[in-house]
Amino acid sequence: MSELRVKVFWIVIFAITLVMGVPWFLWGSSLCVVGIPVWILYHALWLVFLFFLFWLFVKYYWAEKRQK
Amino acid sequence: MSEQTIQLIIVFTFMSVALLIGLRGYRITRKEPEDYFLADRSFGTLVLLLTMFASLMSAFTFFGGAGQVYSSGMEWFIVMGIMDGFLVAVFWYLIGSKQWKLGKKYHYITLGEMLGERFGSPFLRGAISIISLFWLFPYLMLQQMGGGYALSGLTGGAISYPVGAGIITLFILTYVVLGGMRGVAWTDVFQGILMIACIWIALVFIGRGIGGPEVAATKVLAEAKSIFTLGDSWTPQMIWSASVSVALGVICFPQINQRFFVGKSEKILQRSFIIWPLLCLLLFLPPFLIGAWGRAIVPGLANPDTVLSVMLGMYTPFWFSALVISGAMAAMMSSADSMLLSASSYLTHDIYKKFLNPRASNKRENFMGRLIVAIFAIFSYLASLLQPGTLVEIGLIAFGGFAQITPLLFLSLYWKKTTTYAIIISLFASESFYMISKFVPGVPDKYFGLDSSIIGVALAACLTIIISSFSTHSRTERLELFTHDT
Repeated sequence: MSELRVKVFWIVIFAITLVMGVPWFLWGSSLCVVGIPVWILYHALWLVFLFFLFWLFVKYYWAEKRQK
Repeated sequence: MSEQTIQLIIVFTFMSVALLIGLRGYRITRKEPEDYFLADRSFGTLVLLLTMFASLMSAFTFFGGAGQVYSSGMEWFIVMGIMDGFLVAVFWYLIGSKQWKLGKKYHYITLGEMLGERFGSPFLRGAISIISLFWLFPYLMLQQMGGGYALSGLTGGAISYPVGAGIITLFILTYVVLGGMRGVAWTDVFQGILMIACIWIALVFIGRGIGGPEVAATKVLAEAKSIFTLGDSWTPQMIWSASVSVALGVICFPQINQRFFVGKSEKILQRSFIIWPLLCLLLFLPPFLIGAWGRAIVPGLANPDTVLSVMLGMYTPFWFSALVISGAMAAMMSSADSMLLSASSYLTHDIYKKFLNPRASNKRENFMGRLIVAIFAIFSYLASLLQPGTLVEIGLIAFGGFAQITPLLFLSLYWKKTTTYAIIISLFASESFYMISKFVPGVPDKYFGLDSSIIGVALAACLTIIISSFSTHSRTERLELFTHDT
């Protein structure tokens, strides 16, 4: 992939991730599982997902870019 | 010995340990500013990550966050998660990594210095520092207020609010004045670990005391359903504008921004960036959940910021609540000392040495740095006695003020055409607009459902782009500083 396309790829991934930080599909919900609202669990899992996303980003983009 | 005495012994033991660690940092700190303020850019992952974390997480997160959930709902968890976990991390990459490279290459110590050199404008350097100090003042005051609440809450008023806030001020002053960046960062590591450990154990104690999270949830759903309902009393605009404006503010917070300079290598920055969201999750969930449960268990608190202390008092043994208060004090002190240290570097490096006494020796500069910090802290202590608002209210105003600088920083790093005129005019226009909207009665501070800080940021960005397009670079600008292999 060209450098520009790689950049656009990561921007799109990050933008989608950002928008998905708020569980829109649970708007107005107060459904609880093990005493915690599902939308809060969702957001907690989203933060864990960020860890993996950032790891991939460093591995395949940030660190690569540095070597150039 | 009474329970209260034991509690106080626990809190003070902890504070003294932090002090001792700070003193160890003093022993190996040399007198050069780069060593005193930046520990010679020598930090590894653990120290960088935890000092960043402990400097950012403060009374605003711990007490303010629990209080905010108590009064407006768990949506605050999403605001903070998006803001700290995602946006701050992304800026860490976009702005932090660039700043780190520039700092390493040209030995910059402060943000004002970096921008001032690039735009060839000592005036800009001074202006950025003074504006930063202006907004740092309320945020420092917020930590002192938090300390006052914590100690007076713990002792049932035996230590009064003014005395509590004073004690905190004294402790942080001691180790900033003595320790420098090394001392501050090492205590941050200790305090960061302590605050995460304490708040999780507190969550377990309180959860079990109520009868388990399910029982707690049933109570919340029966008494205050909106707390656990996504979007009840919150709109999407509120969630986005709060998280974006705080995140933009965080980046130009002196104590955070300066930490972009202290990593030993880029690898260290990368590792810290990866682990960051997990730390946010670990710290946010427990105090916010306790705040939410508190709404059902102790409704109608006059000051929501006290919900954490009240819940601790109800459900945990007396010695443990002393430990958690120590953890919360850790959060405040580790932020406050970092703020003071940065304030000191801004004042000496950008103002005193640049304008007032350019030929000052390192020793003289060091002395002035410490003296001014002491004065700054004493004034903010006096202001904290007035208790001018809730912790989150005060914090948000300060964040908004810093946020106005971020678009300018971003554009200067990424857009070569940015000119000195554009930066200076935009800085003053957006800061004045923001201040007027917050401090002049009758001027609205919300437009189209968005806080005026966001409008100010947009204004700053648009103005910079428009004016830069129509003006030329002044002869003193040094474009090459930011464009070579960064």
